[in-house]
Amino acid sequence: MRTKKRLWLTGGILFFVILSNFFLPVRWIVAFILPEKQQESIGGIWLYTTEHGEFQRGQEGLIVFSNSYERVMTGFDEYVKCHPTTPDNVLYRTFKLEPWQFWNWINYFIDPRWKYPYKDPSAIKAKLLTPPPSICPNYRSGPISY
Amino acid sequence: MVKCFFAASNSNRNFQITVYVDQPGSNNGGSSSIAGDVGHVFVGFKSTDRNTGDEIERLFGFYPASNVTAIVGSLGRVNNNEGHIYDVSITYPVSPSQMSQAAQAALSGANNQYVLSGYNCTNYVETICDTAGITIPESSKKIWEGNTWVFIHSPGKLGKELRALKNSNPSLPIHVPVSPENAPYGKGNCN
Repeated sequence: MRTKKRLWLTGGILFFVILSNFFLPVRWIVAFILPEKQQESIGGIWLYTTEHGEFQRGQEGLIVFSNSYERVMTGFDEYVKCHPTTPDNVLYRTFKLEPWQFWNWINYFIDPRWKYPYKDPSAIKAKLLTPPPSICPNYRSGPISY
Repeated sequence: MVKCFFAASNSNRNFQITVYVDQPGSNNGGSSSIAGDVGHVFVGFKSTDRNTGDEIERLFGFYPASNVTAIVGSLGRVNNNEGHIYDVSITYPVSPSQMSQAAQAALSGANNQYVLSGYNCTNYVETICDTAGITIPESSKKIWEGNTWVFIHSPGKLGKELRALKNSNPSLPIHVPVSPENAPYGKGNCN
């Protein structure tokens, strides 16, 4: 009887962990329970940057008003296309992978945002002294995040 | 951000207000996509000097300070939306006094609390337009919230209504780009 209970409990916890990785309402519940600083890992603005910060853009978590992952990538592709000679063309994430954050355990393997190398925000280097010219006449990088 | 749109010192200028709608997915009339994309509505204020053609333009919209608490209520904040992607827009020429009223509404609306199903980015822009005497199409969409229907003002619905209006009356100043495009960047300085 006790074993059966344990099995149910384990299954329930596993199910909750799985849902917390994918299912928006459950992610919301987790976010509400977390302390404010930890909420960033679910509902914050996740910053991507190049080494010198010539390109920087934030992706919104939980609710997307303006910047989805796809839009960040479109922005980066445009930056690279318009600056073909730039040496500052490797994209990094500035948000840390935390192994204990169960609400991202599955995402760590399948969500494309985690495939980028990590750079601590304090390690972003100064802007290039002579930034490479843009070949797109109207190119503007736009605000980092909205 | 909007101080140069108070009309008293700008009587020699033409003014216009543009409402930009970034729908959750192109032409999605729903309140959100399954991935949590709710879209965004923002506004552009523009003034043009009648003699020199010099332009001053600002684009901005209303957001929650926290995405997590936006569903129950979060501090609001107004962010720069220049270059933001949009799916459909509508432009209204306005008088100096309408512009001034709109600028005042933009300032006071920024102090409101953001609630996703209450006062959101769409309500913010609607309030600005209402105050200036402009009526934009109905943007309410009924959603089931627990045990009651609530009306949520959403970018999806507003975009859908604007497209329908454009189809029924092509002469209206509604712009529907072939694919989503970037709104203009701000220009000009406020002296």
